[in-house]
Amino acid sequence: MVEAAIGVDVPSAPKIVRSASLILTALGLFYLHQASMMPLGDPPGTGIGAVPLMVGTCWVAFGLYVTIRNQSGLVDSGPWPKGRAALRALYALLLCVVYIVGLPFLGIFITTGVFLVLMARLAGAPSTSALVVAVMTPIAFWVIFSLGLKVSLPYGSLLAAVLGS
Amino acid sequence: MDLLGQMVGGFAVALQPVNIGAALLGALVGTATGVLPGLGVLGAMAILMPITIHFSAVTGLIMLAGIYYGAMYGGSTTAILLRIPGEGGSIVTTIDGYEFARKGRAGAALMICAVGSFIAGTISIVGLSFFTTILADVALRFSSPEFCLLALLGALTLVRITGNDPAQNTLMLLVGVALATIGVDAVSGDTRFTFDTNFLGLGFDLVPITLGLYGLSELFHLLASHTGFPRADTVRLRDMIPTRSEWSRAWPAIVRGSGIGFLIGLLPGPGSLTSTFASYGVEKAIARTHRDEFGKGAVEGFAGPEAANNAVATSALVPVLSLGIPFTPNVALMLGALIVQGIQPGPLLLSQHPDVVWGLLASMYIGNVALLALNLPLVGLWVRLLRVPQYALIGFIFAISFIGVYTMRSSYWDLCVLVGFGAIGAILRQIGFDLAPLVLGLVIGPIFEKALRETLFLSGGDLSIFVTRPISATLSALCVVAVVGPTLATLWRRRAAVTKQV
Amino acid sequence: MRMLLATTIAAGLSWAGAPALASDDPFPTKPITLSVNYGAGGGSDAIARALGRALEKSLKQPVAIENTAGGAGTRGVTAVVTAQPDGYQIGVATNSPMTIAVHTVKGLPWGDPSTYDILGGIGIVYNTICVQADSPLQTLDDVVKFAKENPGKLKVASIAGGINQYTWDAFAKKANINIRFVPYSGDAEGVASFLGKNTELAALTWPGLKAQIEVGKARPLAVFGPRRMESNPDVPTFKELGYDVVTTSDYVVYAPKGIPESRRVVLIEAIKQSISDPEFRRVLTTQNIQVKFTDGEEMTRQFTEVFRGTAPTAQSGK
Repeated sequence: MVEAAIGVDVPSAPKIVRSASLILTALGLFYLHQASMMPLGDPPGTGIGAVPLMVGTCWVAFGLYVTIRNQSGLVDSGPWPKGRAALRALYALLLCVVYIVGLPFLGIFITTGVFLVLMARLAGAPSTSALVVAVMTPIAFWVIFSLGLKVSLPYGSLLAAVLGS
Repeated sequence: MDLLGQMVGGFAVALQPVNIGAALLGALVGTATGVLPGLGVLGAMAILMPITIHFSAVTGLIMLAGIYYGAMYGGSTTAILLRIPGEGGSIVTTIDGYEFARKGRAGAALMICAVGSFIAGTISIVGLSFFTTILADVALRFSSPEFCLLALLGALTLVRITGNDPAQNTLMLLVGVALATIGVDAVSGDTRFTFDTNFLGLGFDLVPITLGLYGLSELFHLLASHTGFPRADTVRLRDMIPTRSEWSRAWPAIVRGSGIGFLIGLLPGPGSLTSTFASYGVEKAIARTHRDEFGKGAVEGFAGPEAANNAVATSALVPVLSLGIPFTPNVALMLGALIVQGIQPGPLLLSQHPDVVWGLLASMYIGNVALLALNLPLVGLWVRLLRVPQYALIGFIFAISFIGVYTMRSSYWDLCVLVGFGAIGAILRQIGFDLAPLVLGLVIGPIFEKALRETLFLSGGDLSIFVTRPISATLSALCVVAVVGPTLATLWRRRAAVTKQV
Repeated sequence: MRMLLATTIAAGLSWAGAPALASDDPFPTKPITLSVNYGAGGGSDAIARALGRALEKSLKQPVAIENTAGGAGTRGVTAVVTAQPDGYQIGVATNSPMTIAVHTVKGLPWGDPSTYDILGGIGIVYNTICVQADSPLQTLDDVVKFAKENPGKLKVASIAGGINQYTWDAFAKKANINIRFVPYSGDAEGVASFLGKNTELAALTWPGLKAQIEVGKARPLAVFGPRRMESNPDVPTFKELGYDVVTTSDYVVYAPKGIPESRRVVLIEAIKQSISDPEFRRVLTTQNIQVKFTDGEEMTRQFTEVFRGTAPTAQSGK
């Protein structure tokens, strides 16, 4: 509430809605362009392109309307996170990307463990607690998914190379 | 009687240990997610959905239904104690429930909500058992043209009900529908919008998108906010008994709320939220002696809405069980749970899989009792759940999301979709776009497209099929009303306002 | 187990110039992955899980099920075909993705049946054509006659893109009739539409229509199988009636090309044993699938036939 008052450099709600709609409309145009190249089918409307064409047209129409109309009575979307808070969210996103990239190589258990340590530290956990969480959760997953549900999990090329040779 | 026989059969299914376990676990998880403000019921259902596929269809469905109505129970707890709605259906409860609790009657308010939810659940389960059979008989008259129009009607109604801006909602709905068209076409088997890439050929699955938009974006938001999960004081057990006068005011409101909720749940649209507002409006309108208490802690002001949103949770299953059409994202997820089990929800669900339907119904009776038993003594514990360290909870949710989504179809692409939509969801939410229409578009879009194309194959391209069949004609008319009606109403109101000003 | 080992040794010895004798190459020594090309919970998945359990009994190693759904069933095939040909990755699939969808899904690293190795067929599903129970059309000849006199008037509910459409097209071409083809995405939806009397005919799988046939809501005219079904000997085949269209939907177990012959023999032997496993048989029979082991070479021949038959005309709806 206090922060909301300080947030001067925050873009105003209608402006950002406008930019977002503009981007969406551009995407819609691309979608419509692709859809227009697909067959409408015989009888007309039964082909793979019919509904995309309809949807694409409406998408662009509504996108334009939301972009150019005179906006009033919109609920304020609140202040955007700034500084360290915003960095924390970005760091969390980065961790997720690293998780996906690391998964094929390190396998599910090591990757999850590392991810949990970093995420717990990010969320402000003491190192020991972070380690406990990071060790216990993969073990729980292993018991539940590998032993209990017999799911085929990715063990990673690294682990396979070590154990397989 | 046949109905009774089937019900007994249903109880035989529901009373299998694994299904009792699933109902209890679902109720427990649901109540937990309802209690925890950061976690929505949709997120919880999305997280657990990939796990349910490892059980039988009925067990998975029972667990999801348990989460669904469990969250309706739990959602009121934080709304009353902290003035934070656990989920959308509890927003109204923050008005009078919180005020009531500030008078030192927090325990009593929680107990009224728990008992009210139980009564509402029971009333609507009886209604559901009754209406589902009737609807199943007429269901065969619904075919592709009717499904197509129902999907359209659902879309047209929903964009007006949620959020604050129908135009923005429609845009999000269309984006959802468009996303669903990417990948392999269900009708012809051809690929669309894939640019000859393997990952786009996989398409955008409902679960990673929903989980990203509601689950991960919530976590990103939480990490970016300074507050984190709030903390709560425990509730003393001796404060939990409502007085006789409180009861005598609460129960008529509960019964009215149940009725309102049941009827709204049958209609397209997110019933949970609208039913609570409707119930609140009705209670306020008919109140005689206590009207000035509304907004200051009137018992009716939270007893009615809490009952209503529980009744909706049950009656919203009628269209999905009998017609295969999901009107809310939550029910859409349950529909998805059936589809991944290889069960096609639709007119024949009751005749083809009576064990699933009746087992689910019976389990809801059991689940309701279980919920009451859980909630009355465990209120104190639920509040303590807020004290689980935030770091453990956040990391755990991330990790379970990843593993759940990956194991669904062993695809790294789905993980990318999950994280991508987590980020997109956080941004869209920040901007003020409602996310529900996007999810709904993803669900309704394929239903609409498939039904439309089947209809045109059936009629040989003749669109008059939409008005020559009696049910289709009615639905077509309703669609027109849904488009034109609100616009006329707005114009009328504007004119009235202008006249007033003059 | 002893017999199995003996077979392995024999196979190893008979393979002239094989680099490793069976005693040098004990197989399997680690868990085997059985890939299924549809998501968990469906019919294919249930069959794969049942097969996995049965294989565990004879292979004495855990068999993990991997659901690799997507791409109209082709993605799971890709996962198996591109795996190391060491015998530790095998898959179960039907002929629809391997012989029909393969033409429409772009960018697949595999193609005709010679690009993978079918170890054997495990189950057969018959396809049939039914009419409404109260229809005045009594026999297949009645239908053909009526359709010839009223082109485009009859409608048939079927499934798009798969073996059903292929079979229907072949039949319609042979009979030279014009019946409106209404494609649904599965048995249940096709049956629902048929029951709602939206179409006069249904060309679906026998398992899908069986319940309706039993309650007398659908009347089978003929089946597309090579011979009459044991369970319903009064239903003729299309071949008997003069339309030489013989297709079935088959479940096969397959592997990437180039598995060592000794290991291949072990796997085939294990599959054969699974076929007689009562639990496995029960899972398939509850889905009305005929359990029968068919030689890998015979399956490859059948698959190649359908693959060639669909190649030029499979581009439906375009």
